[in-house]
Amino acid sequence: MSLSPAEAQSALKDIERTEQRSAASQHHRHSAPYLILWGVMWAIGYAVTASAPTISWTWAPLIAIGAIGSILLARRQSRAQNEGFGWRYFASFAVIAIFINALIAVMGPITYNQMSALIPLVIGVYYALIGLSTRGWRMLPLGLALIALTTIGYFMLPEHFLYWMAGVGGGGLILGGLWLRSA
Amino acid sequence: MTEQPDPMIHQPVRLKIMSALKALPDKELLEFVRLKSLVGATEGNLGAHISSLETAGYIEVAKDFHHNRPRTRAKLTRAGRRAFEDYVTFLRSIIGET
Repeated sequence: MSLSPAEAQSALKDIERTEQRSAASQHHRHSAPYLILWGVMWAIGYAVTASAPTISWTWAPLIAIGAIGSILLARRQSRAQNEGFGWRYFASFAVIAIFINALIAVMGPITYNQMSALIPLVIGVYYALIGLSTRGWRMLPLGLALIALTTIGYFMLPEHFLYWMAGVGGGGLILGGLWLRSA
Repeated sequence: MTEQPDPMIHQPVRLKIMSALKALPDKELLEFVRLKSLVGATEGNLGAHISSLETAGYIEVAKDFHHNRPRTRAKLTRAGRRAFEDYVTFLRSIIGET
């Protein structure tokens, strides 16, 4: 049994292609539940604060639920494999939270609409960078779509911006999560 | 260095199965349905190759029920991982990379 260099090269390319597809599929599947979880939190949070701005404190329990849910997801994923992917993913969300709070402190005071746009914009950048720097390429179009839709809603629908974000922010993350899960 | 390709891996579908499983962390299992999509094989063809690889001790197959549905998952064994790495080394030696 002998192989020519061309056949060996072709086999190596096949191996690389399959490994990349498998790694991307795994990355997408692991990311999906986080997007769905936070999509639900966003949809509820934006919808509640849009209809009753006086109860904007609703965000506090929603963020707590999202954070606890993320920790549980990270623990489950870390147990299922040898790598610390789940914890790294959760830690990156913590870094984003710190960054957003620092940004608001430095740039403030900002309006409620500005703050409501800032978080999805930062998350959008984060997703796009994940898409560019890892094998989870589907995160790139998701991140760019989040940035684009947030910007469009902010400028085109200022009066209904929070409802817009409930739909395209929360709903978009849920659909994005389902799309990742199908990878 | 291996002088001859491992005949168990030296087959297009089995090579893709091994490659797909190699990309996962040690403990991670890959579902049959996803493997089918990654490899691009028919169910019967994939099942036969998985069975061959399992018999050779290169992969481990786990069968259970998930959400009341039967689920088959597979992962590389240590021997399988080593055999795959040897096979890649063999291919690289042919094109003069090692």
